[in-house]
Amino acid sequence: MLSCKDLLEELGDYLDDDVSAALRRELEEHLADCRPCKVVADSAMQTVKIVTECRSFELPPKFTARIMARIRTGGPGRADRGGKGT
Amino acid sequence: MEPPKGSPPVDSPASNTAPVPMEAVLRSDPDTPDVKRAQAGDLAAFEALVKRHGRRVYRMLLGIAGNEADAEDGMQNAFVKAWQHLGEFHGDSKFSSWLMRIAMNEGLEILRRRRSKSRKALVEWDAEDEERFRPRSVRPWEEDPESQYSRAEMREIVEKEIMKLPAKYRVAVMLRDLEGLDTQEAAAALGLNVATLKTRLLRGRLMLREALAPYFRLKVRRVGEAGHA
Repeated sequence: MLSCKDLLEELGDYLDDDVSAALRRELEEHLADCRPCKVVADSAMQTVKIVTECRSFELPPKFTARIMARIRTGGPGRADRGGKGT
Repeated sequence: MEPPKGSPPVDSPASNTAPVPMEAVLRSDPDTPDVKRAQAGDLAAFEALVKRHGRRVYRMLLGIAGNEADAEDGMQNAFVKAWQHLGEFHGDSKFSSWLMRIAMNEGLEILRRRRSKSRKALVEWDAEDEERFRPRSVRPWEEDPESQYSRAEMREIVEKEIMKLPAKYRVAVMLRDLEGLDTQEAAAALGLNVATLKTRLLRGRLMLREALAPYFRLKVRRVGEAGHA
C-alpha cells in the first residue's frame, strides 16, 4: 500500500497521465482511502485545468511591430540600443 | 571570435565546419522554409517567425523576470539577437529550440542585472530545490470552480497568483501548463534535466494550488444561509 509521501512523489506524473497502469491503480487505491490526498490530487488537477484554460499573459499589443522596427533600424550586426528599456 | 555576451548558444562550434546540416531535423522543423528565407534577408519571413513564436518567448521571459516591462524588453532583445545571428543557425536543432535558448540567456541576463541591486533573484534561481513541499490546504474545492467567476476575473486571479510564485517554479508552470510545452521541451528550454523540471513543476503547481484555494474551495454555509442570493 502506498503512503501519502509516496503519493506526493508520484503526483506530478499522475497529473500528467504519465504513470504505468499498475502504479495508477495503486495511486487510485490510496486516493480512495485517504481524503486529504484525494483533496490535494483533485484540486491540483483543477489548478492545472484552470491555468491551461485561462489563456493568461497574452502578448502585449503591437509587439511584432516594435520588434520589427528595432530590427529595421538596427539591421543585422548592429543592435539597436535605443529601444524601450535597453 | 567569441560570441557577444547574451548571444545565442549557436550550434556547437563543430557544427560550423560541418558541410551538411542534419537533414532529418530540417525536414521535421516546420519553421525551416521561413528560416531559410530570413537567412537570405527576407524580413517578412522573419516577421512570420516572430508572430509564431512571440507568445512562447514572452511567457518564458515573463516567468523568469516576473514583470511585463522586463519580459517585453527581453523578448525584443531575444528576437533582435536571433535576427543578428540567424546566419549561424545551421539546423542542428529545431529553430524554436534555438530561439528559446536565446530567450533563456536573456532571462538570465535580466536576473544578473538585478543582482547588482539585490542578490536575491539569481540566488533564488540557482538554489537547490527544497526536498518536498507539503500541501497545507485540504478543504475540498467547488466542483466547478470556474463557474464562480467570469473569464476576465479568472484570468486576473490566475495571473496575480502565478506572479507571486518564485521565478523557477513560475516559469516551469507557465511553459508547461500555460504554453503547453511537453516536459522534455520545457526542460530543454530552461536548460534543466527532466527530473529537475518535474520537481519544479510539481512544486509550482502545488504552491499555486495553495494560493488559489481561498478562491475556489467549498464555502461553508451557515444554517439559514441556504437559498439566499
